[in-house]
Amino acid sequence: MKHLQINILILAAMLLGLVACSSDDDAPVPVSNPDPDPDPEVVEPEVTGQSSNGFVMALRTTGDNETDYIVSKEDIMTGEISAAGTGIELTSWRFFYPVGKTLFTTGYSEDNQGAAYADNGKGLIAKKGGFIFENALEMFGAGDDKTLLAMEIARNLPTRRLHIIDAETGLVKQISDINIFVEPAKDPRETKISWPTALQVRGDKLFIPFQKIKNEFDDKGAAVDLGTTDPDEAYIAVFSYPNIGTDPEKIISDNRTSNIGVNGATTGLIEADNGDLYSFSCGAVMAGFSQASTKPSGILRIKNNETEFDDSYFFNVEEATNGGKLFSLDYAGGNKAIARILTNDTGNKWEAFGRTVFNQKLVIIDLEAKTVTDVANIPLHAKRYTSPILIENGKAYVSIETATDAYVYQVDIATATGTKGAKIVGKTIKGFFRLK
Amino acid sequence: MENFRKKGIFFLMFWYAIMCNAQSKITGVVLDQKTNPVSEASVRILELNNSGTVSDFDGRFTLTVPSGNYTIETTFVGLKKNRTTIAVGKSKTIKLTIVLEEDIEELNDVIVKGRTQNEQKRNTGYAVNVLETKALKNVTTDINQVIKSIPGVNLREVGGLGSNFKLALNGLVGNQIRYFIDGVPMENFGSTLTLNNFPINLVKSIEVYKGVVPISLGSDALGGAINIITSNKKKNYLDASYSIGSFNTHRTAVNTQFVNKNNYYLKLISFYNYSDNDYEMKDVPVFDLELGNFLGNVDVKRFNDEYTSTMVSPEFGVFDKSFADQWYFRVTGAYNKNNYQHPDNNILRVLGQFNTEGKTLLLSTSYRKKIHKLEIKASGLLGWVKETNDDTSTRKYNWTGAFIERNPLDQLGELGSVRSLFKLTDRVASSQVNAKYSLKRNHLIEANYAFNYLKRKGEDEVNPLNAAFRAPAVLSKNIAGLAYTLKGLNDFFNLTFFGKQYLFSAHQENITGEKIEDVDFSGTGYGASLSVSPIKELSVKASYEKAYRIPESYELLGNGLFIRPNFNLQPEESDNINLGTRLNTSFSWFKLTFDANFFYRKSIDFIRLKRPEGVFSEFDNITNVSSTGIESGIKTVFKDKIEAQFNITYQDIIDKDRLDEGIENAAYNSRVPNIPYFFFNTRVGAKFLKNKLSVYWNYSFTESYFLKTENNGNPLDKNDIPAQNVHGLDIDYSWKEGRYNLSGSITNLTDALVFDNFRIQKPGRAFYLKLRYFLQ
Repeated sequence: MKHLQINILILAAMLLGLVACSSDDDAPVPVSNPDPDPDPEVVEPEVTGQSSNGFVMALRTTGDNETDYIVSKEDIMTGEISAAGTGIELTSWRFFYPVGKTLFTTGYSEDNQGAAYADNGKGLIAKKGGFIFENALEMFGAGDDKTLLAMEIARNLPTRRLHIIDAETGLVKQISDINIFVEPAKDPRETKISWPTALQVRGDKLFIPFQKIKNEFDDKGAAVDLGTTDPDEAYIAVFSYPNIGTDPEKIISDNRTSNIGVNGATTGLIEADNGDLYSFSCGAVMAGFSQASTKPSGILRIKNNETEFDDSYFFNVEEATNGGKLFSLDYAGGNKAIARILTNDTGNKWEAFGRTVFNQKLVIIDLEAKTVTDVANIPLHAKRYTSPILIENGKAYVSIETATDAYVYQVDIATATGTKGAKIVGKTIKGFFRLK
Repeated sequence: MENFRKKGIFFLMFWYAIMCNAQSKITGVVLDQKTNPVSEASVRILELNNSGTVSDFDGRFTLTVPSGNYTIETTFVGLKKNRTTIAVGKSKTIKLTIVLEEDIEELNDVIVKGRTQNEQKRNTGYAVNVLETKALKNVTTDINQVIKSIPGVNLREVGGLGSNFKLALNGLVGNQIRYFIDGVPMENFGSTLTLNNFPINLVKSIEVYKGVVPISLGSDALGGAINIITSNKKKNYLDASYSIGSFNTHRTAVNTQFVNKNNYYLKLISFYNYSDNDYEMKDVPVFDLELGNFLGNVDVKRFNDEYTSTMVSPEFGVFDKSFADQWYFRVTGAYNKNNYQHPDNNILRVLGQFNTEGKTLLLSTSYRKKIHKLEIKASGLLGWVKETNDDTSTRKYNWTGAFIERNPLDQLGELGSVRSLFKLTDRVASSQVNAKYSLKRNHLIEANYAFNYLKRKGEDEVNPLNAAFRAPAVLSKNIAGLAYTLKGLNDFFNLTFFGKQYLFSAHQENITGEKIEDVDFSGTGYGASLSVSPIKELSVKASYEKAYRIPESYELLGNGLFIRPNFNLQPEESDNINLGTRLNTSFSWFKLTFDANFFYRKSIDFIRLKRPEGVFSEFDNITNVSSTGIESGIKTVFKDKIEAQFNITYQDIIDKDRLDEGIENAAYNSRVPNIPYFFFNTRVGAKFLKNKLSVYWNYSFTESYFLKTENNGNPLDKNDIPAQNVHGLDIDYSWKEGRYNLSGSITNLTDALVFDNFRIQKPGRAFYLKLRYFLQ
């Protein structure tokens, strides 16, 4: 690691700048260390030695406390994908989210750091910037090709901290404390708050679909879980963008289906080529709902230039798949989406995120025509956290995990057929990305 | 105390009186038949009202007498009484060598033999290290620092004085190792009574049992046990010390005892420790307080790491009475306050005010009596332990010491997602009964029963949502053990079989005191140990135990926040095997002790926190590992002047999970990362000026190891914990026959960057000065 000496003045200036920034808020009272170090250093952007060519992938290995590696490979349809002797080693389990040609990764709160990774112009991946946060950033979206939106979601407070992060520098530009939804109760433990399931920017609006949740307590009074409270309605908070206020301009709702999105998935709401937004609602207990929704799993639409649900559009996916429930939805071009369906709901909370039930299938959904086609040649599988699905040239790339192994599959969107690719030496590939 | 002072003055006057009388000196050494020095032998002059002394660690003694003819009587348990008659002329020094013969009658008694008690323990089949602290009492150090020099032991500390630590024995770590004080389990004693602040002065010896633990230490020790033995002398003494050092460190310890002529005694053990722990951190990252962006690395002094701890423990008891060999009541009060600069595993999160406080009060009693061939020991303990975690700060800090006040809406704590003032109150109780019965000459039957009870209640004054332990949780453990030992004549062999029965129950109550959740577990552990001593100097040892560790309360019950209870948790299990040898020999000017031990541990169902995926996590039995290694220690002493010791450990800790959640584990059969696997330490020293001055140099080395699986990742940017080279120097000057001791220590002599954990830097070079007064 190279160190670059910089003048103390630069650091002092930065600290001063910080003082200046914070004095806007009245409250902060910065004090400086009585004994500041006279010789600060700054670490140069790190070049990692990992190729940025081909597919860049987030590989979760086995054993070893589930470390994630950023690996890269040009051909992912043959052989194996492994971290043996290759890959950027991260310090823990990570979230991954791409913005344009930049890949962000952030950890949990005991590894409270994030950074951006991008091509350095010489065919290598370089780490850019770096920042820390307090609660884990758990929901992500792209403001534009150069801006990451990332949100801290406290489990017991209504305030949501929206980070706006510059993909060019890998640094945070702004943090806004926003209220998506709160319904206070006399007993603070009964207060209903929000669990956002997407951060979708379209034009001058930021759409945040959310579940209404509260902490659940056992009869000893210990918080044992988060629970959905009103599963039979879909909710979206609409904020202005980029000037996000503290409160939404409005909250829209629709009672034809359940809460939008599921925990962990960032694609509760997706945008089609024409600017229409589509949301998916699941409602299954195994996907984290406290009680199964009485409403069918399905897709709602917000037309381009509108900020209300389209009354004329509802795709009842549950009916179309004989009782299946949507577990994810990614836009695949040409008004089609690639989706995961829970073929049945086992009724055990969170079980869809585990590795005990392998009941998920991939389907291609025609959003306009309201049709569902099963993707051929892909086995039933289980899926936990995943980044948005990479789709290029009409092909989607997914990691498919069955009870005993994990393989890359390429999915042809037009024909809804899967092709088995490389074997994954690890638990899963959380995401496929292109940095060039 | 008053009495003491009078005695002190009396002794002084006596001393001067003798000096004025132009006295003669008798110096001597007490040896056994094999020329091993006999320490603590009583040497008395019959003609002078039985006045006399006790031989020191090397068997030496000095007496000052007026001229005349005297009979010197020398006694030591297990050895025949010796009487030597001498004539002392004026102003002459007489040199004596007293050889004590083995007492055949007493030798047949299987309990007491010619070997010192500690040497007896070392020569049983257990893989045990017994460390006598005598030579270390003048050094500024605590128990941890001493234990870590034992082969097979690895200690990983987070910071300076009072910081958290993880002690590993042959690869098993943390709560897989159980601690005892004078045979009483230290479980649930709270943060105030741990080895990281206990001054070495208060301790007589330390026993470290690896993998196989005798039933007398009744606990669920998966990987071994450490038993701290406090001094147990039958005479008056005062041992007081004060040390001052770098980082504004002050440490005081007082250990004193007063015995009256009816064998009643009053003993006091106490200490006080304080340190700012404000050592310099090199190259720590500074982040912008508002946005969290990385600004650069700086060198700064730690600013929120002050540590205070104190303990007072008076004991009242009797010894050598018809109704008891020893019986005492002890009260232990302890307090500590610990500020945290950062969480133990993460320097990116800087804490400026977070602190914990602990209060412990223990009442205990212990009884010991030998009736013919039956030896009974019983102890009981009641305790109250209160731990407070103060995460109420409204500030956010970075490494420069700068802070901002948080937005009032933002209720984040420094560490937690909501500010909290969490108080845990534990009521603990434990009792232990041990009986040994010698059947005929060479058979010994031992039974042990240990009971341990914990009732835990939590409350949070600041965060109403924190319901952890709001309804109390109760855990109780019963551990019964039975052992049979067969001994050969003259210690030719020593064979022990033992079994341990574990009964565990836990339940949680609701607010009205009703039982809600109930967990029960029972299991049977067993083992054996064998030692063979073809000659007294050499023993070859083997031992095995099927060991268990019962889940802790927090593993079973969760933390009421994001860790859910898991009532299906199973105990951790391990098959532990040791094969070793010990050589202890001496020639006239040369002493050699050599230990080597091969160990194998096959452990299954390690309890680990399942990673959060979704919202909540829980503890589960997920990992299997095996650990194979070899450890060795050698100690030599030349002419009682020059001493050198060297301890070395190599261990291979291997991931034995074929599958990880059903998928083939790529790390199967590879080394478990983030655990040191090769380390050694050495201590070399010499005594000068008639042994008044001693100088020791310490050096320890730990080979670099990877944070994550060795084979994974681009070698250019793999995370590792670099190789550690740590030197230290101790200089010690004693005068007035060890009554006054002044010592200086330099730790981390080369001011090296020292890490036991990834990126968690330990203190640089530090200086300590210690003054110790010892009178007995």
